[in-house]
Amino acid sequence: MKNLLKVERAKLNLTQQQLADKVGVSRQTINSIEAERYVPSTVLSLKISDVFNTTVNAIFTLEADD
Amino acid sequence: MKKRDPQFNLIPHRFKFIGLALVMLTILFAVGVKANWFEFSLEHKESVKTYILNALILGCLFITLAREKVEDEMTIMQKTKAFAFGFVGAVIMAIIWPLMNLIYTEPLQELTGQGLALIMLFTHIFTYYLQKFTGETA
Repeated sequence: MKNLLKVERAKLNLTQQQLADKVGVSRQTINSIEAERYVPSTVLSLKISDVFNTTVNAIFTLEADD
Repeated sequence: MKKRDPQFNLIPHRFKFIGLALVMLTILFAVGVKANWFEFSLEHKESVKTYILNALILGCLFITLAREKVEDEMTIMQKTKAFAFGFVGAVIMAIIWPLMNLIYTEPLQELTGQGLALIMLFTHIFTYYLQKFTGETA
């Protein structure tokens, strides 16, 4: 699953730590999501999209092999 | 309606350091016993060995069960996978151990419950920290 988390974060000028604090996870978790090493749960995806005031689909997109 | 806590019932974060200190002190004590820094009679030596193993198991258990500073869904997933690896590792070791006696000319010590528990805990700790530092979820 691809994601535009880094782009969205840059738009709001947020650091990984600031985003992590907002959604209540560790900075390592945000880093792993950005590096596409970890796929977040629905709840966390919704929390993240809420921070960026957009939809989950606008941030996370499925790839052909998903 | 009361929400169910989705987290494991883990012990506080400080137990990680307590466990680490216990493991370090036990290893130091074990080295001391091996190097004859302390005097024990032959009958007490077996009991000392048991106490050392139990202290190691307890220390590792504290490290294993201690909460992270920020406990989130990724750490819970990493811990779950590490527990699974620990379990499978112990089962594999229990199968392999008797076969080792066929390879080596001198028979190995019998694998005790304490030994198995230690293998399980070491595998858990190794797998968990490997996942943590690589950022992968096995």
